[in-house]
Amino acid sequence: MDYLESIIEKYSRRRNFLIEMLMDVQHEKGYIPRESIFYLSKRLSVPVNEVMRIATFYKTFSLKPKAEHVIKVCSGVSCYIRGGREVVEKLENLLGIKVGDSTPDMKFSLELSSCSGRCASGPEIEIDGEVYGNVKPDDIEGILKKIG
Amino acid sequence: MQRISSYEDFLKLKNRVQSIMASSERIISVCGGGGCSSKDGKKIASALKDELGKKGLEEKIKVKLTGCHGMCSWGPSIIIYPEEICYLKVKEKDATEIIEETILRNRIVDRLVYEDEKVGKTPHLKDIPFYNRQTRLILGYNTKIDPQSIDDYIALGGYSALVKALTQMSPTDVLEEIKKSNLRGRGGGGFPAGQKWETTRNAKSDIKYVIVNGHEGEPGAYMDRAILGGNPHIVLEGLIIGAYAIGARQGFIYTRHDAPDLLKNIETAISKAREYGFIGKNILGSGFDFDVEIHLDIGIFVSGESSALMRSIEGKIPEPRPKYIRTSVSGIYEKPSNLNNVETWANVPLIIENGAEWYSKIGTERSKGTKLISLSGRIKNAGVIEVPFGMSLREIVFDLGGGTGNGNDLKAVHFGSAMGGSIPKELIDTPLDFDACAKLGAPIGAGGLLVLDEKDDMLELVSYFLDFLSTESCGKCVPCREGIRQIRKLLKKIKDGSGTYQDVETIREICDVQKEASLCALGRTASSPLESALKYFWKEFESRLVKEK
Repeated sequence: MDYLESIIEKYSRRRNFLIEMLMDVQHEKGYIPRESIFYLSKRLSVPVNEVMRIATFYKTFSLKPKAEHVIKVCSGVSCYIRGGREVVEKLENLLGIKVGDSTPDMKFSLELSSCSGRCASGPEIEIDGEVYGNVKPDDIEGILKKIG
Repeated sequence: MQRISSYEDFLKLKNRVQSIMASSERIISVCGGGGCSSKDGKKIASALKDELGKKGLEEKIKVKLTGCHGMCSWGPSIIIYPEEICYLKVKEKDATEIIEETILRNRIVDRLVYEDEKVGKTPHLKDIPFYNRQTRLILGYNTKIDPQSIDDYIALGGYSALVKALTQMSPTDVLEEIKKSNLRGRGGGGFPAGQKWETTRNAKSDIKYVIVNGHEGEPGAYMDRAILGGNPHIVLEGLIIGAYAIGARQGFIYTRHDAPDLLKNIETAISKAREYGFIGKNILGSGFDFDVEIHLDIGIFVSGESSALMRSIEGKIPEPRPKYIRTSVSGIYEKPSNLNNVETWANVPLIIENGAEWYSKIGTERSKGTKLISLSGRIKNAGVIEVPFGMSLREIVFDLGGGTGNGNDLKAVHFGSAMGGSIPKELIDTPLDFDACAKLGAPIGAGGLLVLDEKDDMLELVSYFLDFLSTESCGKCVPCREGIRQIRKLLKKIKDGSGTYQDVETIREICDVQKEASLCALGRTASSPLESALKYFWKEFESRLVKEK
């Protein structure tokens, strides 16, 4: 639980940074492990249900581990009208999963992300922090192959 | 760094940083903004530095990685000062040629220059229509300063307004100036900022708060990022001035979690401002204390709503509350809390520095100053612009934006994203104005302008916004949570070709209930895009309805 202690200390144990602390847990572990919810609850004297409520309120938070590579498709309106929907459909078909799920071999997770503000180069997908702009459905197979 | 504790100290500092800036023969500004960061601004900047190093020019010629230049479709762009030569779609491998040709031989690299049918090839900023039609009072800093450097901002006049306010004006003077300027909130509502400040100032409480709303959750809106990421100090300066006028000693900056560079720039800005003593105890020897902390949105649209945002600063779920009592009277921890949008705060130093009279000469009768607009969708020059209120939408879309850029005709422009509305091309001569646009059912909102062409389907667009809102709604109140779901179902029926006139009537009824009975603006305006589509593009609905016998 060392990582949790250092996250709690980063925010001087202040309860009003609970959301930021959960964000850091998610960054550290890739998801929010069950025990971290209990740990934060106890250390900050916040009821478990309140921590749980925050952890389940935001779609950014995940209570399940994410796959090795997380594919985020920008869900902004400009990307959407410029072909983003077809990009999502193609990804779902190729990976055999729906948005919000991971492949059974835990290689890819598929998510939608909120508008990145890079509307000039949409549709856009981001994989492990790498941004791909002006993506067409036909490009996707190549991008996935490159990643592994 | 020394602490600045008087007007004289500040003047000395300003002179010093100005002479440092003047010591460079040339400055090469490389766009590292949000829209360009995926396009290698960092790599280009370091390639340019390497080239300069090889030629022994690194002292004379400075390379700056700046915030958003604005012309995102043409990014990454670089601007060479003092000539203001603008190169577009620059690649890392162009660095050698730029240094050899332009820096050493004063020759233009032709293939990196802007070109269109009207103006031909134009290397200078002042000849590019995208730039020369703008009034870049706020954005103008972006191309000239390193967002991590407080000295850059000070050299260009930054923090002078804060020094003026704290050493020459009383809090009431500051408030009166803002009221006189008629500055209206840029986050969506267009509410007079001075009036809001006054409410918090007059509220009875020892503790008061000021907040920067940098949530910017509207799809297609990215101008606040351009300001906060490119010049966080202008926002911070506005916030400190506002806190002084209102009587707040604690401020909050609420911003997005998913933009690491943006966050880093804000954090650096706060710590540099603290080192100079613009934040902390006894600022500039005035006896005024003020501090700021950053809170993050974790990615839900509703947390940009003021009462929800304030809950989230307390570390709680961002659910809005009914506003019988305004947040300016009872907000964070039930204390009076004044919240303004990023762009609103950024206007404050300009008004204090130049005066309300100067400010109110820009814009229209009831919408003063400039407005940042982010252009997206079917538009040639997507990016961020800053134009005076009163400019026609035609000028924005065609002269600055370059039209649809894909050969298709314009169909409509959509303002205000999921809470806004569309304006058909027939009304494109409408001026940019809070009230004129709202009257047409397309309130400016935060300033995201989505351009649609003749091939775009309004029902698809409206469905997109409702899908978006249904996942971004907090779910607390029934009209919003259930209303959106029911409208989506009926809309799908219409799209599938089995909708009836009665279904349209039902949709209208649900819209009415939502507007009346939802807790917050998200629910109240959830149906706005749909209603404007029904008003201006009824044919697209009607042609899909089952014909009654």
